[in-house]
Amino acid sequence: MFKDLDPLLHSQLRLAVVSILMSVEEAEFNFIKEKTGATSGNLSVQISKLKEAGYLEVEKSFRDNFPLTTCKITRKGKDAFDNYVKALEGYLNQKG
Amino acid sequence: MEKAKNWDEAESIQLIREMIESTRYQLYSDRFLYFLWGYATLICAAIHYVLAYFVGYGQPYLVWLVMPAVSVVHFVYIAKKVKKSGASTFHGRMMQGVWSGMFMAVVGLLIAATHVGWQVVYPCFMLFYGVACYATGKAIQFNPLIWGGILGIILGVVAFFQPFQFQLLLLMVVIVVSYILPAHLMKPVSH
Repeated sequence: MFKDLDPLLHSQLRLAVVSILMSVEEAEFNFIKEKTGATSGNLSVQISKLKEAGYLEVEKSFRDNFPLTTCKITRKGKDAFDNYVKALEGYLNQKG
Repeated sequence: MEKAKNWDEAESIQLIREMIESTRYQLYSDRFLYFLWGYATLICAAIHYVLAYFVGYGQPYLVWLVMPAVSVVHFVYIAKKVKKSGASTFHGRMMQGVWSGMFMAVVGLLIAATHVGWQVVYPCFMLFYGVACYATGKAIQFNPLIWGGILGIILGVVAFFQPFQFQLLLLMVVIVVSYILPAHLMKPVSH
């Protein structure tokens, strides 16, 4: 049986964000923006969606008087990513 | 990644790979530090040797007073890099742990030098360099650092049985094989 792909992760930008955060302990907004090539507005929206779903923790602070947003994946986010990858592998194995 | 388009499962896997790969620790990004410490130590050791055994200068060890300045360059570079990096990783923390641990051990040994004697200190330096390089090389699977580190450890042990004059020569060899050569062999990885 095919597992349903998590619709929250089955989006290019959200998947890219979660993939990055799976490989680092935490990342700043600008780091994620640079790696994904997204605009600030779109990235901000997608990060909010992931945060609302409990996949990310977002911390807002200041550095040198400039606002700094730092993101970190949660346990729930890691599990969701693992399940998503397993579901993808299931699809790919079936397709051969 | 801005426009919505039809994309399939294979593209998802590819995207995941690309994003993970883009965050991988690049040893090449720290190449400057290996050159900095490698050449600084090599030049100081060479000058010390020449001053002591060719020129006959009474205080050849004074050349090592330049090392605190090298430390300052190191810390400024690291501070700028950390500020620019934007992400903290396990690899980054591990590198910091290994090399800051080595730095503390070197400083501790310098403090103890007057008590244990300089004959013991230089071989210990070589052991520290060797261990740090070996640990780094193993963690990131970079063979030149692994082998350079092992050779550094071996030569450090050999140095314990040598007079100071040969310890200096061995130190130069250790620095070349564990720092300078691996630094020259580091290459950027393109994604």
